[in-house]
Amino acid sequence: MHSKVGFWLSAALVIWMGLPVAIPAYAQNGVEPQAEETNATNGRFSQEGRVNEGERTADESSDIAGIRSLLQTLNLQAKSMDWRGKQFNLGDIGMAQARFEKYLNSPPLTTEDDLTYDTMLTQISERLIGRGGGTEELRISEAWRMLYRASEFPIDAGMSEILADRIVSFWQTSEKIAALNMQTDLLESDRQYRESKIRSIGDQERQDFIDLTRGKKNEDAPAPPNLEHLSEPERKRLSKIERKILENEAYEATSRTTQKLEYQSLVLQFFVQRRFQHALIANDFYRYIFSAEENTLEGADALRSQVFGDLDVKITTSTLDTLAKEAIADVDSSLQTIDFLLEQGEVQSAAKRLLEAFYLGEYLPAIKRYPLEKKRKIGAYIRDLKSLASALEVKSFERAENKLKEIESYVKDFDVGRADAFIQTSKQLSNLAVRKALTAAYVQDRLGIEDALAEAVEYWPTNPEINEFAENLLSKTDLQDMASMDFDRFVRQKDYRAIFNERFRFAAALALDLKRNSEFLEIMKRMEAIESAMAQARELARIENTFGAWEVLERVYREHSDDQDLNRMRGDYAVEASAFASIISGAEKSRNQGDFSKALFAYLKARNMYPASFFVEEGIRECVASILESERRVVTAEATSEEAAIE
Amino acid sequence: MMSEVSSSPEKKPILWMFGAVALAVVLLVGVVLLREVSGGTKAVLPEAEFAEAPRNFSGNRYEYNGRIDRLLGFEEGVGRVILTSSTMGERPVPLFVPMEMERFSPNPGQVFRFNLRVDGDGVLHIESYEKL
Repeated sequence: MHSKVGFWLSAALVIWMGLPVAIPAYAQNGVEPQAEETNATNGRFSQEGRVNEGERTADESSDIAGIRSLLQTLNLQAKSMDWRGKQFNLGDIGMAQARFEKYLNSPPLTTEDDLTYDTMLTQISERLIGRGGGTEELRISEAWRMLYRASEFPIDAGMSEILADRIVSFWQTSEKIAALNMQTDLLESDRQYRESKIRSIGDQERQDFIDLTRGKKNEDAPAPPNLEHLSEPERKRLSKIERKILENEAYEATSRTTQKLEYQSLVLQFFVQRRFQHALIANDFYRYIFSAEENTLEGADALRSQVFGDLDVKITTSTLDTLAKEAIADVDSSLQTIDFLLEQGEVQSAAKRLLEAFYLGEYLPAIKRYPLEKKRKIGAYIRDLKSLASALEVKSFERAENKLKEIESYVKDFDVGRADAFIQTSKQLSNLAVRKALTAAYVQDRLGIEDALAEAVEYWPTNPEINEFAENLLSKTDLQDMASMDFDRFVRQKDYRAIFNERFRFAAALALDLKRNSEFLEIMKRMEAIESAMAQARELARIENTFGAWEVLERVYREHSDDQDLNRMRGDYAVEASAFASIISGAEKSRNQGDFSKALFAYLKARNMYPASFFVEEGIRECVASILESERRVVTAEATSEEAAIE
Repeated sequence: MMSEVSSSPEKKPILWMFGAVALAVVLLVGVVLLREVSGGTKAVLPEAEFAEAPRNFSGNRYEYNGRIDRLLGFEEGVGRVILTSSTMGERPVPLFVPMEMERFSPNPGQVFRFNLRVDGDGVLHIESYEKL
């Protein structure tokens, strides 16, 4: 019995311990890995920046319903984005993803400041291309000032100021170069003067030597003096002037190149950062600043290779200009497509397009002004999809089914088939496992229950049939355990009445307990006799046959004297039937003493009081038999003695 | 007048003696007749006392008039135990009929006068009977 109780207890324990354990275990066990689709779902994101590779692999392995894969198409999976073969670094994936989620729940940037800022950037571009008239210097100057005003808006993030500072730097350098050029001109004049002076000294010295050689002078005349002391300072001065000129020329050349490269880098940086408006403005300034100069991107090799890779083509500022305009147009086109898709209820496609458009045109006015209600519709879909994926991962199929219906109600391009098939299959497999557990329980196969329940939990942890099975098992275990203890205690106390009063509980609980059950059945037979006698006594008492009532109780009492209810009832009727009971008692006493004649008289007297008495009938029969037996012995003895006398 | 009074008292004792004798004779005759009518000369069974302690009456003989009620038991070669009810008080009185009393064939309701003997166990044995 104890082993049986232990069996149920351990089986129940398995269930209760198994449920919480099995759920996390499911994530590890999972199902067979599915062919990875996520690589192909969004070709616009490179694989190099993939994070939590192991986690994703685990997710994919359990993504037999395909929802996680579907969700991955709406998540940023890499830190760089591929747009028409150009790579844009989006920074940290988590942060970028957070920006998109924040964007989906942010109102459109349509405040007065936002509109003013966008208008200002547009006006800068327009002013640079000539709108508003005026001289070139005036337009550039106005546009440059507008850059500083634009930089005052927080949304600008200081981009305009950086561009304006770069332009100022150019101008300052240009002024410095101009000053140096003037200095160079003066130095050039000075050089010419010094050179002339040195030539003049040289000429004088040569003339003196010629005169001496030709004898035009007295032979005794001293030799002409050396004039080198006169030309030497001039030579030194000339050398300094030439060095300075060379320095100035070198500075001009270097500064120009450096400025150009730095400016090109700035333009490229704007493009890489997807600040396409600033890239266009910077390009416009470039045309004026570096007019008639080579516009091939020469510097910023790292940035260039980051965007264009190893593309062996000539990248110019015009190329960037074109690409920036294409990107802006692409974003506008994407938003129109998203509007159409949302109208058609194709939220899945709209979400993918918005994701792409956002990361490409994150800083463009069209993206920033996109209506909140449309973004929230997409955001709600993504949330529902995540919720569905979570529900499927933990196999909370009721929640998953509800979420599936909800998604299906407003998303037309969402295929529920795979997820629904997964749910139904898992449910069926889990239910099948519960049946196996039930079958194992019938044959008390503990290991079978454990295996089957583990299987059922693995397929569907929240399967109500598992809970039902567990509750039944637990209640059965409790019932059986408690009933066994109570039964043993009542038996020890010989309180069979208590067992009888709870006979249904004991019958159910002890059905499989072979030893206790046989004992229980015996007790039930005993109590059945007592209860039957008590019922009969009540009926006899109802028709005022108290002798009969007492006799019925007395007869059962002689077999089962330990029932309290019977004793109490017997006592009550013994008082009412005391005369009859007293005679019967006397008769039995005489019988026991061997005084059968007296007993017979007593029984006969009692018979007059209650003719239907079975005590009397039995007593008379016994007494007569005893008397005849006694007489037989006498007759036999007499016959023996007679035979002896004859012999 | 005086003489009439004195003569009368002289005759009275004789009359009284004669009357007493006559009464005694009548009573004697009555008793005899009564005994004759009652059918027996033995002691009548003291039913109530006997029922309380039969063994106390062991060895006694009694005369008893009873009505046959039913047969309580029979054993071949031993005898019968029949139940009778006293004609006096309707008390049930069981009697043992020995085997040798083969001709005794009572039927329920018949009244008999029994001569009884009480054995050592207090059982009433029928020694003779007379149908009434």
